[in-house]
Amino acid sequence: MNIEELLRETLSDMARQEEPPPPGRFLRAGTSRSPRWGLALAAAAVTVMVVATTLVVEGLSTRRAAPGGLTGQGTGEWLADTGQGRRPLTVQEGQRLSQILDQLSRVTGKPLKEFVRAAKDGDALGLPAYAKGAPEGFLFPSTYEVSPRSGPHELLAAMVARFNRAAEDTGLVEGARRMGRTPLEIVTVASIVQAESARERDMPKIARVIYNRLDATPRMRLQLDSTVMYGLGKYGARASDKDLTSRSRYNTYTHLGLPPGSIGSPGEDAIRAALHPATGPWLYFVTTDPRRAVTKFAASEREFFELVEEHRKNLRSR
Amino acid sequence: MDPGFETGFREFVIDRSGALFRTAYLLTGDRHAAEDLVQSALAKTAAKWSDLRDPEAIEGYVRRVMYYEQVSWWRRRSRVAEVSTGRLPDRIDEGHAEIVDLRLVMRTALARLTPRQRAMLVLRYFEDRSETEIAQLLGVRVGSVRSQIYRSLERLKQAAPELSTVRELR
Repeated sequence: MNIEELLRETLSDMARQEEPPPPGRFLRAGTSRSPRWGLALAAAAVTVMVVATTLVVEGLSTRRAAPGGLTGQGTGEWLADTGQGRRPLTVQEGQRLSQILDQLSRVTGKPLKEFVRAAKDGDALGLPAYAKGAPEGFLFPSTYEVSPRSGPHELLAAMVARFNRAAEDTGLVEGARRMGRTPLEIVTVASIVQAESARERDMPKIARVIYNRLDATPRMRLQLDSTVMYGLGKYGARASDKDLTSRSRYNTYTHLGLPPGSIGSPGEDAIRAALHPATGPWLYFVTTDPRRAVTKFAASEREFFELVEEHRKNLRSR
Repeated sequence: MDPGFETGFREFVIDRSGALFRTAYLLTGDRHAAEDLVQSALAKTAAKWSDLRDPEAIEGYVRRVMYYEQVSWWRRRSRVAEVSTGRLPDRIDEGHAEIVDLRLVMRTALARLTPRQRAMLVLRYFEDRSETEIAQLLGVRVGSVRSQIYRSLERLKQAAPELSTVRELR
């Protein structure tokens, strides 16, 4: 095997392992909506509206299966061995449990239901007690090597074990106690920080916004689209007005406080941000310049609307 | 706007955004940057919709925009820098002798190339395009494509000395 063959295989592995977002992500527009805070990560969602203001698409991803092309067909044969039948498997920061299980099923060629069943068996996975048996948020993002002999429990347990190591490295349990929160709350905040941050360096400030909203008097709702979308099993940066009326416990526009659990797997940076939020009075954030992933923070509603205006101007000037 | 536009555009995005995203991911090495690139290319394509009649012409146009944007200087400067984690894989089956995962090494090495070099490699080794086609798509001379690809392969070899062990591992 020479470098050209290796490069071919590497590129084709990369292309196959990276799950494309649902097509609806590229079709969202929604220009008629009132401005809301929490526009971070709207970067990808807003460009089409400049040229096609009429496109508003709901639930597109369910209309048709994922596009063909390079999609693996479930047997796992498309991932060449890395030696002795091993295959690399990367869990990305922010991936949801359901996505990870899908990916595991594809890479191993084992039926999805085996992984779904294994994921329900919280004790066997070595989850910390504070996870209350739910693995969402506790399958740590990293690259794992999968051997053909690894069973569903073993694979998930390895990801949980990696989380437990990160929890130790970051001092999660002591840190939570110091902050007067439960470790599960910290992991939940970290998962939201992960979903809402366009850049790593914004994470501590976004964590601060979440805590400031939780601690505000009178109490403020979090009003984060990422949690609403999670509750609906949908993807995309912005929830539609209809999405915002959903009755899910993850709808932070209607429910006070944090959602009942994580909305994806936070990475170590997000966990650290949740444990060590920046200091500041902010209650809002807006990605003012999606092109450069610039997120700005505001402490008052008036400042917030100024940022929304800046966001609009940046879109127009593109 | 063309009344058939909305349906046609939607159908195209449903059918092809997955494949376009995968190429964009190879070009950028970053999920968010890839989405951004596809989105931006689709927006430009939507604006040109009435000139593009058949699906092949549409896809060709989107892809040209993607390649061009990825290698043009103003875009490259504004793009979020690629994060190369360099972390080692967590092994699940500890019992086996340690085997270096060459593909992970390659990914890290690819991340160190310039966007232009990387785009050329993707076009050549993922999309199987000829050097002449690549030159046309990126607006450079054929000789330049040839020498850049050669240089990139050399850099990949250097960045990953493990590559010399490929034969033994296989």
